Amino acid sequence: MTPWIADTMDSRLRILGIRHHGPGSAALLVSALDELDPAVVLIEGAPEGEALAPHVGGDALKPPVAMLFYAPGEEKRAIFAPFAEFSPEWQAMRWALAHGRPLRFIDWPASVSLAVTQEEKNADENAETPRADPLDLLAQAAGVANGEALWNALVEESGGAGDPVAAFAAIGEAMTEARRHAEESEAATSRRDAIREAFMRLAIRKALQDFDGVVVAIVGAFHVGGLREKVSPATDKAAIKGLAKVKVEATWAPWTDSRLAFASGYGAGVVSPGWFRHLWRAYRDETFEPMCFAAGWQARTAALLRAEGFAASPASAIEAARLTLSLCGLRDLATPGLDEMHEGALAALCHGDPLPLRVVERRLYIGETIGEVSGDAQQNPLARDLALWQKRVRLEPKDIESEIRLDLRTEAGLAKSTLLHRLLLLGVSWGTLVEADAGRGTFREIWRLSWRPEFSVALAEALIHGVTIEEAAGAIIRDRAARCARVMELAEIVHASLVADLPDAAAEAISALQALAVDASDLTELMLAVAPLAGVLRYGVARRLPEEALRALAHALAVEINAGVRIGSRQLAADVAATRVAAMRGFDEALAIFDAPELVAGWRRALTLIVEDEQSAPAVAGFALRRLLDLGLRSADAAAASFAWRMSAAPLEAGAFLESFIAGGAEILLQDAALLALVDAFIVDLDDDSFLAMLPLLRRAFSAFDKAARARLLDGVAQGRRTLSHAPAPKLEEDDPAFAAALPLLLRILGLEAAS
Amino acid sequence: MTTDTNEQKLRRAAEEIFAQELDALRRGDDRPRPENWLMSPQAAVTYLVGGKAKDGTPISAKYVGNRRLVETAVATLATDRALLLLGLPGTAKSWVSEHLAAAVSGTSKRLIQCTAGTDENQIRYGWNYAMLLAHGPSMDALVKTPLTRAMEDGSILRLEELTRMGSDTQDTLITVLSEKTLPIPELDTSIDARRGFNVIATANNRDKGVNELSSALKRRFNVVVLPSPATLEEETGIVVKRVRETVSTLGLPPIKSPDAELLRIVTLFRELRDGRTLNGKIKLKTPSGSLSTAEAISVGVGAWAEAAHFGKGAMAPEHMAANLVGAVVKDPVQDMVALQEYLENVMRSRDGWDDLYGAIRDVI
Repeated sequence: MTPWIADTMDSRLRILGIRHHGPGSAALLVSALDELDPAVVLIEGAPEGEALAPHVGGDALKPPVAMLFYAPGEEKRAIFAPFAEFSPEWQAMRWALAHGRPLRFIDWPASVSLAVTQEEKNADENAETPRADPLDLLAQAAGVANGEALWNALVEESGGAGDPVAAFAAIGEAMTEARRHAEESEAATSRRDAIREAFMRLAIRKALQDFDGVVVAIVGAFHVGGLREKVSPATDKAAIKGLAKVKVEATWAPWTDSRLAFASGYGAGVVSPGWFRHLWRAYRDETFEPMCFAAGWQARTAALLRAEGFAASPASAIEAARLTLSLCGLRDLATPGLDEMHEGALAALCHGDPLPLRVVERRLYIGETIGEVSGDAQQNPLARDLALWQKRVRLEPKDIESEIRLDLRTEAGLAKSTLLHRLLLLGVSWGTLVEADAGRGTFREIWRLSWRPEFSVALAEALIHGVTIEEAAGAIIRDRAARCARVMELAEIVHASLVADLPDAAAEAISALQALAVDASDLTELMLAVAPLAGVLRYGVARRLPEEALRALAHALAVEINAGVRIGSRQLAADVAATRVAAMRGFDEALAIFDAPELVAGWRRALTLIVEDEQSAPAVAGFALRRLLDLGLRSADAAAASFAWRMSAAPLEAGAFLESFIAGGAEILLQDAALLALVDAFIVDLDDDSFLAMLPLLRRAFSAFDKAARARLLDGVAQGRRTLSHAPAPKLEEDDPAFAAALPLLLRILGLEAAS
Repeated sequence: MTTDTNEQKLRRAAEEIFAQELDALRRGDDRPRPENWLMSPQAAVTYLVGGKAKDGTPISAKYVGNRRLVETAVATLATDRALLLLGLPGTAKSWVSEHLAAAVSGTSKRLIQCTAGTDENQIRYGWNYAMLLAHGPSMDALVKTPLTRAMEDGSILRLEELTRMGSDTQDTLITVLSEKTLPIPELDTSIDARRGFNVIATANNRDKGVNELSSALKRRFNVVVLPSPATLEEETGIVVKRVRETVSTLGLPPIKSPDAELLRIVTLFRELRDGRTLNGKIKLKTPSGSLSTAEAISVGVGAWAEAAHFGKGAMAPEHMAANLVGAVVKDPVQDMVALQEYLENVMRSRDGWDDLYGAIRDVI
């Protein structure tokens, strides 16, 4: 047992070094507090949070939650201090509240840390080499990969067993020693840490004066060494003198597991909140048993896998647990770590395929818990941001329904529209878009407005996404884009981000869409996604557009369609084929206005292939042949051959082909002599038996035209054949004097002067 | 068997080549070992990944790669679960299986080569018909297989290329793997496995079209996937080395060193295999073929041969194009789509690749 070395400051002081959000630290800490029974508990946290601490004892908070410190009016300046149920600080607060001991927060005040401007921070970061983690040095000595792994193995995954006070004494010793070495070899402690530790030392001295009995200070293990240094109070006071301050407000905000994880970038995070929670629950359980511990985790893994449709039987979960323990034995570990659990699950539950594990990874490792803050929620920065917006765009919240018309070409109209679109993303449906022609080149929006009280709740809930409306809306877009698996849905998300003027989030959604498109099996969706894109790019909208990215996206989608359309046109059910043809028509038009000759060439190649492919769905083939004919890419003879070949198929198929081939109305058929001649020649060439067999089909195909149109069609056929048989192009009737008089003007209008 | 005949062999078994290392590890091994194992799991891991025996004998690395995979494999065998090693051609599956068996049981020769022609009698047991006719059914009339022998002496059985064997034959293993016993209904008895018996199977995990494992059998295996080389540099290094070796064995005429071209081949293989570009920016369709390192090597050798015999002393895109297309396009429809997408989205715009783009376009 390491004897407790009396602190230089006072023998009543116990500095306990923990890892933020470490379940092992938390378990050790609770036992140590029980044993030490301190008169006061000091916690590394901004003093502004002291007023919030009493909520921890009640039911108003369900972790993960965070203390939010922000400078009113400058909501971008905010810091969060998150707590999970397994955070040592959280447990320390609960302990103090339950035992009726005073709590003090001793870190530098948020009013000071928030005053550090972004430029100063950047300058600091550039000037200093990143702080050498003393734990890494210890890990090097112990032959472990890094400090994180060493700490996890020694403290977090050790089951919180042994004499807790002695354990903290040992941690303190090791960390102090390691930090001394780190400082000898590397640069000195950063300015930021020096100021913070000066604040903490001063607060500790004050607590020692104010209270008799044991004083416990709970700080990140890194700071133990710093707080033990012999520094005179005068030096500390000098260090914190004259620091800039801002006005700060503090409130509780709900937090999420994913934000606890490293990826979210909020300070000291943890790799796997889900894993730490599992550890914490195991530590709270008196009868800790490695097999139960491993089996519990693997059973959860298996359950999540099954929920995703993978075969993961309970028997396999047991095998995974056995393998996990066997790996522990092989690696001389007392309890399995996350690596052993992962490898066990991979080999026994997933047949070595990492994909299923990746699917459940997020829920398994990170977890999906969302904290709750109920009761008297303090006014949150999002609500403040909204109030500022409302003042700026002159839009007051009223609960009576009203209608506004916005002209997006004016700055004010655009700002209002942007705000309303962003609020929709936050789940605050203050405005309902009545007429949504925006994005298609018109510059008008009509909104129906009505404010309801529950929107405040939606704003509070949205707080986990960010502290300004813009930031939160952007985060929501990113979140949705990451989860979305359908092309159309994602295209809508892209659209939503564009109308909400969130170009960065839009760029991410766009690249997500591009990635999704590669796997998309439904070409119809892809085609439907291209059409509006091309329109936006061609005609523009009244907003900022990430044009480059959009163009790349449309291009990639089009390449995808061109590559897959031929194969994708096979074996389509009649109704699917009908929607496909509609989508192809839209895509065809979109390509025409989207300036990319190579795509057009690719599309035409694909159409030719579809026509020639025996297995193409008849409706699609009908459309393709018609397009080729219209574009003059298929000679009349070749087209007639393809037409006849298609029409010789089974009646239903031939009918579908014909219907889509002559689609577009009687008028077109009447005007397009070549088309009419083709259909006419085919019918005339039929022998009597075939004609009778074909008759129902023809009737059906032409029944789409109304009676008058059909009559004119018949006339047209009679006339057309006459004209066609004599001369393919009608000659000008130059002997008509009235016509001759009108001719020069007509030629000028038609621009034919030069030619004649 | 005398040493003389041993040296006549074209290839000796792992336990013979590395007898010294195995011996040293066994002698210095003071850790608990599972019953009928010749060494502890820790020592077995050391044997595979290299290190030092207790007496200082250096142990060469048999498997260069992730140590944790080897640990999982050994831990699996220690829990008496069967082990299935999956991987593309050229990822050292059989090699690892042989060495594991040598380390754990001292012999890697209990081996069944699974093929489409393998039937149940070659897995379970057969009958000596002369004996059967003369004396009736008895244990003596039974013809044992590597499986029954491994069960009887508590050693490791190796099954090579498990998925090449018919599914119904594969399922013979189910009872053996879960109950550790092989019933012989004809004699109203069974062969019960001794402790230490276990199975290591190998299979190619991207070989579509051969017999998939039934899910019942799959559940009885712990699976370790041996990965392809982790980085572009590593894989290119392997390909360059192996292409040179093959070319010199084949006695092909020398050409200008084609390292840069081989790098392009490996890049294309890796990008298509992983379904995205090296920089991770563009997602791609994955062709149905395995696109293994072994295939990259054969594309390299093919291009070399073409360049050496018909080219101007250097490997040019037109030599690679046909070989590449042949390696990528296994399914004329789906794979062609994947390749075309790759051509248009990646190759066309990549600096210095337009020659290869053109050459491949010409081929397809």
